Amino acid sequence: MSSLKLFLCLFLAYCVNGQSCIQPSVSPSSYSSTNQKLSKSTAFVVEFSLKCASKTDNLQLYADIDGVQFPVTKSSESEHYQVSWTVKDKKTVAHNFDVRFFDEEGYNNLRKVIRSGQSPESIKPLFNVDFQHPGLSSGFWIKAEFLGLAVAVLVLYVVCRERSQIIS
Amino acid sequence: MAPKSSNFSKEEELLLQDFGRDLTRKSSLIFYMHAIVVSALPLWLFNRIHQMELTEHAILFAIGTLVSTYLVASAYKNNKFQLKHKVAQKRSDGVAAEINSQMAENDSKKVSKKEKDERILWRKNEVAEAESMQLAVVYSNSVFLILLILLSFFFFKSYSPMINYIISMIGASGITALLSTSSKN
Repeated sequence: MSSLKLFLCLFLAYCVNGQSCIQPSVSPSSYSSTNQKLSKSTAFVVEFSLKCASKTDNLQLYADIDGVQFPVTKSSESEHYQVSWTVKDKKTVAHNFDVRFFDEEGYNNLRKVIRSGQSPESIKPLFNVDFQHPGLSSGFWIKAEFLGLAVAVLVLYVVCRERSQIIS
Repeated sequence: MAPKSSNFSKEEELLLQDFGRDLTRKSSLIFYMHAIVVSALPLWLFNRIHQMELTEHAILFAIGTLVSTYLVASAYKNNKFQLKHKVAQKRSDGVAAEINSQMAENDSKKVSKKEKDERILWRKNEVAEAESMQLAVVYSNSVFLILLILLSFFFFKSYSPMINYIISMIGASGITALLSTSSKN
C-alpha cells in the first residue's frame, strides 16, 4: 500500500512537472503594426523561445494582456511560442504592454479570481514580457515614388538645360 | 563607304582620332565603370522595396546588370560623340585665350604659329573630351534613372517583382541607348 502511494505521488509529481515550467528563461521578440493606412485593426505579435529547468512536453501557456486572455501557440518542431491579437480601434496610441504568461494551473486560478471579482494582479504569472508599441502613423503625406520621381525630374531638367546651352 | 586612312595626312588622322566615335581605352574603362555602378544601383531598390532576395535571384540580377551596363555604356558613347564637337566649338575661344596667355608668360621662348595652333587644338581636344564625357554620363544616368522609376513604380508596379525587374531594367537601359542614337539635338 505504501509503495502504491509512493508510486502515485511520483506519478503525480511527474505529471505536474510535465505541465509546469520551472525557472523559465525567455528570449522574446515582438511586432506591432504601425501603418494606419494598411489595415482597419492594429495587430500585435509576441514570439519567444522558452527554456525550462524542468521537462515540458505538454506545456500549455496562456497570455493575459490588459485583462484579456489569449491561448499561446507552440511550434511543433522547437520550443518556440507565439501569441497574437488585434485591436479594432484605429486610434491605438503608443502603449507599453505587460504580457503575462500563465501555465494551466495559473490560468485556472486567474479565471477563478476574475469570476470572483478580485484583482487579476494577485495571481503571479509564470513570466512576463514587456514590449513598447510605438503607436500608429499615417506616414508621409506624399508617396515615396512620387518624391523620387520629382527629384529625378528636377535633376533631368537641370542637366537638359546645361546640355541645350552647349548644343545651341 | 569610309575612305582609306592612307589618303589622310597625319594631322587629319589625328583629328579623326580625336573627334571620331572610337573611344580610347581609358575612356572606355571610365564609361564601363560608371555604367556598372548605375546598373547595380537598382538592385538595392528591388531588394528593399520589391523584396527580391539577392541570393535567390543572383543569376537574373547578374544578367540584367550586365545587359544594362552594355546598353548604358553605348548611350554614354553616343552622347559623348554628339557633344564633343559642340563643346569644342563652345570652348574654342577660352582655350585659345588660355594658350595665348601661357605663351605670353614664356616670352623668351619663340613659338611658331603652327606649334601654337597645334597646342590650342590639343588643349581644345582635351577639354572637349573631359567635358563631353562628364555631361554624357550625367545626362544618360538621369534619363536611365527617371525611366527606371517610371517603369518600375508606375507602369509595371502590379507585375511580379521578377517581371518588373526584367522589363524595367531592359526597358530603361534600352530606351536610354535608343534616345542616344537620335541625330536631332
